[in-house]
Amino acid sequence: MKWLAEVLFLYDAEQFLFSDVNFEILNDTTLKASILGEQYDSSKHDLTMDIKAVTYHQLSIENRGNRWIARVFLDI
Amino acid sequence: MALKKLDDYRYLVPTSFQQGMKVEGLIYASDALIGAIEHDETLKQVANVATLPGLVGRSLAMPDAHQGYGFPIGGVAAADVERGIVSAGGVGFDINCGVRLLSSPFTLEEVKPKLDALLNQLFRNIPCGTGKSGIIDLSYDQLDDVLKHGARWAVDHGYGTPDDLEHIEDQGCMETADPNEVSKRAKQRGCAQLGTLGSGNHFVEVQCVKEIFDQEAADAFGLQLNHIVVMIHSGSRGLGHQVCTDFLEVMQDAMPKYGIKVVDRQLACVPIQSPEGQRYLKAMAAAANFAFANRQMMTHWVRTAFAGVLEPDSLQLVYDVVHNIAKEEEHMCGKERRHVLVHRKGATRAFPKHHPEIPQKYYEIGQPVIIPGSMGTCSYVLVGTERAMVETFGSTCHGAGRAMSRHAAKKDISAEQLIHDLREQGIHVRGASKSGLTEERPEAYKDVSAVVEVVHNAGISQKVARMVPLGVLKG
Repeated sequence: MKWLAEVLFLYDAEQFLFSDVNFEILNDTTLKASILGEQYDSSKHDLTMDIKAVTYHQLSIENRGNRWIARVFLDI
Repeated sequence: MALKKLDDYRYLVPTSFQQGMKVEGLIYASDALIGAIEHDETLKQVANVATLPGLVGRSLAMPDAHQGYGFPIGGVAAADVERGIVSAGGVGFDINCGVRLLSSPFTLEEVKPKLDALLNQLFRNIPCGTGKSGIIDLSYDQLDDVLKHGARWAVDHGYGTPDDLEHIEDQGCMETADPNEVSKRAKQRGCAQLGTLGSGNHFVEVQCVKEIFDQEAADAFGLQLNHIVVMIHSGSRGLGHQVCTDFLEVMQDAMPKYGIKVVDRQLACVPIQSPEGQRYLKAMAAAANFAFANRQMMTHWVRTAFAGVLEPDSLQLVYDVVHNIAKEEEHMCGKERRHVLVHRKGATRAFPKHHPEIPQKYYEIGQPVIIPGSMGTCSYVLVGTERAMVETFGSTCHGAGRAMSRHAAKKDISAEQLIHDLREQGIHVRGASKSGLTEERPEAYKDVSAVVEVVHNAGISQKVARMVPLGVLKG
């Protein structure tokens, strides 16, 4: 959740948009990843809404086979 | 245990409705509106709020209530200042999201031929939409001044007049604000966004007064039949969102220390008198001041647009109300006068005549309550009542309330079709985002008139005037 909030912060404070994520460490307590992207440019990017926040509303994380699926609600 | 219908406009949520409820819930709704409230999580959220420690009176929901995060949108909850809690989620992410109304001397006939030019000028003057930065460049020291002084900062810097300040809730400045309690991250998010409308449901709308219900109050508020008014709906942008995010974390971490357990993480709360509670209230007030300054700056640009297309110095601020806030107020609870912290999340303060907090000009009338409808539908001005002081901690509804998810709203209509349909009804639209427009289509909201009928008939505010939209500038 904190990681997602950080990504949102990067957009809102630095106008940084990301397009790709490489997870480097992902375990019970740590998430480290590199994100690739570029600076927001109104002539190139058509953004439709602001995201206010990452919420804990009905947060769920479940294991499906060999994948973990998380559902997170964003306040828009 | 089911809901208990008390009368045509009130439904009681008994403490037996859900385990752990410490107080009852009360929902203001008609038969037509209660269905929507029962349909989503609103009812459960009203009950969840009633489990929080130190609440006074009931956990309330207004007729425009819908599911939120933790607290319902349209919820009101008051906590004893000495023994109760404060919850960042009880205010919401968009701290001091609010709405203001400007009156004008122009008639519909005078403005109609110039409407397109006026909207184009508004669109040029007011930065709106996602990713849009403000026009002014603020240092962090200057931002701290904004956070400390709110709309007063804006007036001191040439945006509006001192008279405007008299017509804003709290005179546009919460004195309890402390910029030092606002994180660097919140300031980084907000610094470039001062003086921007934002996206989502935020708008500037040119409207015409179509109906007057209370001539005396309309006269006092400067509202004349067939005359043009302008409504501005905006909030504290990324700065306020980050303050809420930061303090949800702080409150979650601090709860075990105070022995508080909540049924939903978004309800995280701490005692009002705790260091964490006091820090939040100071940061929240600073974010509220950012929003007051924001709406004040946009007011100036609306006036500039009118000056260019029509006449200068023509728009008067009727009033500015706050939708998302927690405020310390005195209220009668039964026969006892209590000092409480009122959380209003998607609800409007609605104080009656003779209340010391309302402008001198409206002292014999009551506080104006401004209720925006959805795009393409009417809006209302109401006035606060004594009944609201007795029942709702001086609160009423805040708008139409969402009835359809944003996703569902944009599913079966294109932006072009929507703009065309609204134009057919005589409503001109300018929008930064086409997708954003369809999400705000009129059908996505409850019928604002049905919502207003409930608060009027329940007596927690009274109808003064109804306005219809002519032109909308959407974020």
